Amino acid sequence: MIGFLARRLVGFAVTLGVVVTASFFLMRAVRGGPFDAERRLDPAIERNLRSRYHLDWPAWKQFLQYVGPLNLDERGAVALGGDGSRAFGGVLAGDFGPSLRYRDQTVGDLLSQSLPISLALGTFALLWAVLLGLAAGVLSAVRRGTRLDFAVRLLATAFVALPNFVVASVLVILLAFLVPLLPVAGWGSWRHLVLPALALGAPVAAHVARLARTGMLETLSQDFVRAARAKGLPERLVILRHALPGALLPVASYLGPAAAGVLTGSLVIERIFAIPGAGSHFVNSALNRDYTLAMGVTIVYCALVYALNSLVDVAYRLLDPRIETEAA
Amino acid sequence: MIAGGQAWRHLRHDRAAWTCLVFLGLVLLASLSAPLLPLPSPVAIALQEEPEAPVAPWRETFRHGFRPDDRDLSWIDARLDELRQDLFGDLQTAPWLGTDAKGRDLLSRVVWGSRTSILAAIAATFASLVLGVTWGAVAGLAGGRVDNWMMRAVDALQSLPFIFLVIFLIGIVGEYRAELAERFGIDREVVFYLVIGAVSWLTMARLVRGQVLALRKSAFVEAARVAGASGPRILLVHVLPNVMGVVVVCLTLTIPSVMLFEAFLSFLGLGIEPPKVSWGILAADGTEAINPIRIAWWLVAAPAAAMGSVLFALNVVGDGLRDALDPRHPGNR
Amino acid sequence: MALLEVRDLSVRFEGRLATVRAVDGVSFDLEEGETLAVVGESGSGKSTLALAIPRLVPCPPGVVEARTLRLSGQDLSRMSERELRTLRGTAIAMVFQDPSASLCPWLTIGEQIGEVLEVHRGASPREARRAAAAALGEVGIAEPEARLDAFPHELSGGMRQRATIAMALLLSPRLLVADEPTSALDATVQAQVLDLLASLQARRGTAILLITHSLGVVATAADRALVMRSGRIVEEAGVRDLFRAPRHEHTRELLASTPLGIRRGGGR
Repeated sequence: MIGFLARRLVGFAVTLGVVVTASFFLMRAVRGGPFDAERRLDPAIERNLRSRYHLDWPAWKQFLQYVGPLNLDERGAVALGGDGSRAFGGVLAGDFGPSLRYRDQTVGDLLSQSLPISLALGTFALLWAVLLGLAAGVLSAVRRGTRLDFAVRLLATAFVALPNFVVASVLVILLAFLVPLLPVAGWGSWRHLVLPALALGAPVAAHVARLARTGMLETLSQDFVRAARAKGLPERLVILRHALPGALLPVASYLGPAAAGVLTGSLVIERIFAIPGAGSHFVNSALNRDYTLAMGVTIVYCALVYALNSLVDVAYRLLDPRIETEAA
Repeated sequence: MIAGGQAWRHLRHDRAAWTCLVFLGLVLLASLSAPLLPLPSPVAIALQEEPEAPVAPWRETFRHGFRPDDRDLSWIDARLDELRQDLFGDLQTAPWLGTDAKGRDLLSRVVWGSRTSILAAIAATFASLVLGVTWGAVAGLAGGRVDNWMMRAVDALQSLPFIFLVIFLIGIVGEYRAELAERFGIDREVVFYLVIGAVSWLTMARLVRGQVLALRKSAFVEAARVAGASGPRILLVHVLPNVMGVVVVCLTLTIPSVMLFEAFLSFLGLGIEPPKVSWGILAADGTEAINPIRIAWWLVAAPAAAMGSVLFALNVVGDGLRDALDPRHPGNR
Repeated sequence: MALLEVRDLSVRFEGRLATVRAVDGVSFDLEEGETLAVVGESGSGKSTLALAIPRLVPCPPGVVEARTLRLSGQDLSRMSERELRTLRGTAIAMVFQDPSASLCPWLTIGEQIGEVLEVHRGASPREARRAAAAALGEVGIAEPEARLDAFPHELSGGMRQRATIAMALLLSPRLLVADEPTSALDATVQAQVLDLLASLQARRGTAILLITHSLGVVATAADRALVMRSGRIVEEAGVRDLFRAPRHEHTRELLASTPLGIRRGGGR
């Protein structure tokens, strides 16, 4: 298990290294910069700004400055450590530097304000989606062929098909305007969380329900389930203890993509509900050429998806004891 | 995987899938013949205070006053448009689905917008078939080190944060718009479809490679080889038909997800740009129109219904095809 | 009175297009401590018969009908699912063909054996564990304590089948239904498992309904045999008579397709 996690970590570091390097140089190679979009700046001011953020340095030097904990000073000499004068810390030291767009704020500040909001939303969405999807899928498999099964399958297929922003608009009309139960948009209390989390989780719940149903049907037809019944175990035990892990396995392996889906979905959902999360930074930073913010968001999102994927792999191995020996 | 003819018969017995297939056929037909249909212009703006609510077609079927807009139409669309004017004159449908805040007819926008989704689906299908199948087949047939490296490349691409790349790419394209148009004659829209194609072939490559690998080792290919069949013959007669099933299954998964992706990007303002229409743009218009004073619900409902029904139908057909192609489930799930 | 009385047992599966009669009017008796073999080709309905006795045929699509289906005088055909559940594992136990498929892959051997005791006898986990270890020892598994925490895939095929036999005989059932218990095993292991079944049977007086396609297994392990074909019993005879003087044409065909040594040496 440890060796496996270590391998994953190395793979992650390599991927991230490539992504950071490639996007760093690409962003600087293409035309246009962070100060373009605003009204024409006075050339002197722009020169000042560029020099403040070291954009006048050669790209390789900027890169070292950005990534490494080494600190390069004005003349290009290498000095160690942080003496208040440095503009950029190193990503390796957990410092993503100042935002080029939101002056006076560092990427770290921006992320620490917005990320917890996105995380709360994403976690809540994922949580209800997985729990409800699992319950619905398992129940529909156990009661196969009944009206309940039909309803679950219909709803699941419908919500797999509907984009979450459509679900969001319909929910707003229904639950915020027609029946004014919940706030339309904004952030602050748990009531603000409900609609966006519902919309964000709906496609995930539908996918989970379908996977859980198929997995459960597959498992229920296995010999060992019949054997468990032949032992005279109560049906509840047969289903929860012997069959359920079979339904959990495909769901567990879907959690990685699900998390990625929730992340991308949050870009849209946060915009619809005017939630001050990290999603808007994600889109805007890329369009505004806010190099440092874009990199920061990308790195954090990659790390999140990676961490969740690793967690899922660990869970998978715990659920199915056959995996470890096959891999070894 | 079982033979195509048998799978087709199987599908004919799946009433839900068949109904959905017919529905999709009708949508495709309507989309292709959009200029011929007596619809109002999807782009002509009529300034008015408020969007007009839907009118039931049996209350008011047609209105007069159609005037051609000055969009660039392809040659064939322009001919269809002329034909329409000969047939219907200035008749156009009443706003059966209502109009938006700029007075544009929603039904017309939904029909014209479907073309974007279909183009995205075609781009993805094309990339999957050409790039994905070739890549997967070559990797599977070559085996060994070549296979290893080709699949590593796919792995690496798949582990990238794609949304970010796409956003980034489209941002770059924005900067080089003039040059692209001048030198290569491609605009942002083409790049958008290219991007969609580029992200959609990876799963296909992986699936095809797995199937080819399994087939290469399978008993009947071995038997054919022992019987002295030539390499190309084995490929054509034994491998290709058996890969078709995987290809079809993969497409049934790729097409709906690509349509969602298109809508998602257009919704964020990263895809199709006005005055072109796309269901993502319509959905974005819909969310903007939500306000507590007067709910123009049709602005949300129309794109939602369009996207929902088409994607639902695609999923049902996909499920039906998967069942039909899977010999283990005799179509009774 | 026989331990198990079966009269006119029929099982049919009702599909959308057609109804399949898997078992068609089967009648037989099984005495205490006896081993009755049911032989037949694949598709003859013998496995469905095995499932129908503890009423484990999935309904729907299955429909089970019987004039009489009695175990020590108790009418199984009229019992509720709840009553049946208390009998399964205690009075009737089953052993299936492939132990790698009939053991749950994500529970340890100890958990799977122990849960029988916990459910039927209300044993504490600790008592269940001790009893499970003893049961594993009885079926000849070395170091039973250590094997308790093993997952099925960590054991050999023979060991797995021993474990399922230990699990089935844990509560000394009066009837053991063994559905092809040796078909998935190597030839040498097959003999060991049959020996094990015989010795456990001798110790406890369990009756065994032995479903098999192999006349070799019938010859080694059974007292009497039923020959099945297309859901019906075509011949019923003591093993010795069956091999010496098969009456039915189908039995002769089956015998003709069996290696010589067994045909001559019939009976034990």
